[in-house]
Amino acid sequence: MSERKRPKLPPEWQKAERLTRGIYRLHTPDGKYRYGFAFPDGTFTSFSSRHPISLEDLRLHYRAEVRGRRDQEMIRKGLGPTLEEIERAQKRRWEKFKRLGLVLEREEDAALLDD
Amino acid sequence: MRHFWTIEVRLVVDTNVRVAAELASSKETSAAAQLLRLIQRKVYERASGKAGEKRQRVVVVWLRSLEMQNELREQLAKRGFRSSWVLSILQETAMFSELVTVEERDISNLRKQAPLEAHDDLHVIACAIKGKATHIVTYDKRHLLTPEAKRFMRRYRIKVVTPAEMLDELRRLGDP
Repeated sequence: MSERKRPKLPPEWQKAERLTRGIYRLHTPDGKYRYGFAFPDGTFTSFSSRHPISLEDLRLHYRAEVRGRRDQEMIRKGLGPTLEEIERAQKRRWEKFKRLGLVLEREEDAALLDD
Repeated sequence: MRHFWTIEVRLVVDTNVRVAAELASSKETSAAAQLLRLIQRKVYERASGKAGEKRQRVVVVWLRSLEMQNELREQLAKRGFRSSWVLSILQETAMFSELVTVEERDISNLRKQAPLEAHDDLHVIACAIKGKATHIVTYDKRHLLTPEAKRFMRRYRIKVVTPAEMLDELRRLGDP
């Protein structure tokens, strides 16, 4: 990415290490890492992971954020998918999970994986 | 001119509820799935301007942090979900919710005050406080649905509830 196109980073990101487009590793005073996302719309956010996270997973998060924001914008402009289309896609996804035996017997069981 | 009043309900949906909604054995009977469907419908109608004709009495805002998104990714990965499925679930969550940035200092401030059993979920509590949430919706009986955690969250005027309780509360408010 050229210098001209690179987004202006917040001051606390000055020592950030750029991992790939839009994704940064920030050094915190306690020696831990935070990860920074610089979005195409010029906004920023950062987060820390309790467990080590791969670049591939960081990319997955970044892509999901960018696409989610794009969808939000499209819906606002009346150009996005309809609610019925979204719900149909969700139903198709759920049917696939059910076929694969991924659904939960008791939904409260989802809390057991929290720890 | 007719007078309209609105109530803003700001929800932090814990990862276990998001997973339960996605993997409920029956979408019709699952409180988590019903709640998520209701949130999506209300957020969509408001964003697309479809709520204009029929003003929403209860405005629902779904809050999340990237730490919570990451927890969701980890849990789905543990269950053997493919990256493409995880991406679509994360993307959908991002589409319907507002992002709250949780800093290290938000968590460390809470560590000194929050009850010990809630320490595993400080990222959820921090997201709720920073996002000015009114409710945390969870199935977590060990860390968040405890009397101590509920009492602590009351200081911030945040209720900790199950999905069924949240649906009841929304019904009581008279909107869905």
